[in-house]
Amino acid sequence: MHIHKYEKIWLIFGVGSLVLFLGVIGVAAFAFGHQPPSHMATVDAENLDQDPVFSEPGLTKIDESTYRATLVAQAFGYNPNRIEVPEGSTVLFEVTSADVVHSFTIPGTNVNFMVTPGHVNMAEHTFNEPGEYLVLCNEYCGTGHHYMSMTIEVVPR
Amino acid sequence: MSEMNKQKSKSHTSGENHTSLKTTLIFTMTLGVLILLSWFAVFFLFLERS
Repeated sequence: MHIHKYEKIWLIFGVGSLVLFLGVIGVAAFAFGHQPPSHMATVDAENLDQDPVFSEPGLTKIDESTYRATLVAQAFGYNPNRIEVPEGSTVLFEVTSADVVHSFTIPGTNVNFMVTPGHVNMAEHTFNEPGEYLVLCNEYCGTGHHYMSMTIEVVPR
Repeated sequence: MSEMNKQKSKSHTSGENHTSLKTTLIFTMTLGVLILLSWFAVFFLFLERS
């Protein structure tokens, strides 16, 4: 089969980029453990008040600098709507929804995921800068969507 | 008849050889480089924020 010289060049370029991108995804997933925000963990969205974890959402300390924040998103707010962690803490967010699809977005960070009812959606972030971090709902969820927010207070050590 | 076919295929082949793919190459590579650059820009933004 005859292939034009230039065609060979862009075929190599195309296949090369594909290999590069798939390689980056592979390394991120298998070597660094990056996963989609919904780790296939499920919860009964209609009976959250009976769930051992989500019936009492809040912040729990795992070790000196690691916290787990279990949060329930519901029109039009988050429960709890304010958490406080010391500077340099890594927070593992586990968020679920009690009604419709919401989102959990901390502007300026990589934390930005959908909160789907029936799923435990997870992300983690290390807060190195003290200050007040705003959390927003990024998914239109109803007439009060623009009021839906919470605050993360990162206090200096 | 066969003579005509021969002539026809000959002229067809020579026509193909005259097709220049230079501009196509330039456009494809420009587009490819743009895609790569924007991909890396977003990837480094992600790394920066994590």
